[in-house]
Amino acid sequence: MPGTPRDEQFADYLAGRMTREETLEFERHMDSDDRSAVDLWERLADLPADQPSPLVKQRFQQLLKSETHSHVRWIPWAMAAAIFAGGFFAGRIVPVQPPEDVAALRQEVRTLRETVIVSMLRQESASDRLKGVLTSASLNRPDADVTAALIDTVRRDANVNVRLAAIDALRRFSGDQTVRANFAGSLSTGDSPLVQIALIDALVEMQDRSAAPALRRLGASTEVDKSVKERARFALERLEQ
Amino acid sequence: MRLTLFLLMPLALVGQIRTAFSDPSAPGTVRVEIVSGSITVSGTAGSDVVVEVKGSPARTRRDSEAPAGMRRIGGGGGEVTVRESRNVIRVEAEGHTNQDLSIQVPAKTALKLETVNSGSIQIDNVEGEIEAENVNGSIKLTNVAGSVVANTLNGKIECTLTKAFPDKPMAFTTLNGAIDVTLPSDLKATLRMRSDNGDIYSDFEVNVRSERVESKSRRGWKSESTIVADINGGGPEIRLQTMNGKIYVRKK
Repeated sequence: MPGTPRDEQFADYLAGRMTREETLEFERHMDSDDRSAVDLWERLADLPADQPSPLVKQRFQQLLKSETHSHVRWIPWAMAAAIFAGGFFAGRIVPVQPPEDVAALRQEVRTLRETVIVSMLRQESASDRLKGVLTSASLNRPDADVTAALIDTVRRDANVNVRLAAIDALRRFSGDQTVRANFAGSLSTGDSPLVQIALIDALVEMQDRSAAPALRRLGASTEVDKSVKERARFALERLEQ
Repeated sequence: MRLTLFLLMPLALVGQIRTAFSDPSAPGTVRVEIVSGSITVSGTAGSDVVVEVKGSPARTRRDSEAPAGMRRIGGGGGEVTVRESRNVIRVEAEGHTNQDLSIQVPAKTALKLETVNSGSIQIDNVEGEIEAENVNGSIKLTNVAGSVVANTLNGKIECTLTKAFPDKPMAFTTLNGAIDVTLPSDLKATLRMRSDNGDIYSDFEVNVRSERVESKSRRGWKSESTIVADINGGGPEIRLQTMNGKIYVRKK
């Protein structure tokens, strides 16, 4: 699949209309070609977060009205979402089968954003992965895929700065049991002290008492950095207060 | 199919090795991973990458142990290898032998540099996406452009950025050491700064968006304070974090 994938390919991929082979090839391509994902990202980067302006909604509904009776070609929902996202003017060029519900469309845009964030977290460049992490903060309630991808970043990303940013991004989900369990589970003695300290701070902030055994282990370990041991001991005191 | 070039040469034979990118028209990437020693990279007008191993005491000693009339051509571990594949040049050193590397790259090159012990990372005059990771040593970037993601544990981070790529976040993190960055005076950015036991200084006009200070507990839990501030109206995030050290954000 040479070159940048066309919008239709993204649409087919998102709508699950590709064959298994096509899907695999598309994913391989997106993984191997930074530019495609970055390009898609760049085009969607300036999307309004969750609240399109009333003007956009009004113009879109006008568009729907004017298009309802015209002879139209079937364009998949995801394509419609991409057009809505990419810009109102694309809609003037390509006739669109009108979706009935703007809320559903908004949901599609949101899903697309989340897909983009997950793909950003797999980029080769640490700065691009950082951008994925920071962008997730603009979502009010990221879906499970985004949260899982952030947790994966905390555990496995090759760059310490990207992991630290992911820990920060997940700190707002202090009520999420999966996040807490993963923070406590990620506390390993051999890890970077920067990551260890960030995890300890997050666990204290979440008042997660179940983290106490992991903290005790860290505080007692001989292979752990001195500042980390101190931090772990202070954290235990705070959790037991 | 893309033509793939693959070069693999032991440095010990030559001391200095020149490698070309398979596609010099596009900016290439240089990745360096060593366990012990310094990495110094400077941008040049040339299109090749030149890697030089500076004589470390251990290496010089081993070389000098060669019997009369012979020279050491390899063995014993610690060889530096350079390979090129798909416009990425990888420089690696096996084992824990101390290697101080001096590398010349084209002025526009992406860099990914990692060392652990007994050395600093220094980059001068390079434009590109720059990633630098050290553990026991400093990181110093002079006249770089693009984006920077840098971290160390025990050491200072200094960076003079002449130009930033649009829309690329950056990060500078250390545990024990100062962070001293100089940014273009017109750079639009949002700074997220945190120093647990040090002050934060800037000559930029900063617009503080939020400041969070955690209280100290009776047994001396170190307070955590994160300041988020815009310069020139705000923009991509620049994260600056240290535990024991001051933070300086200077205007160029």
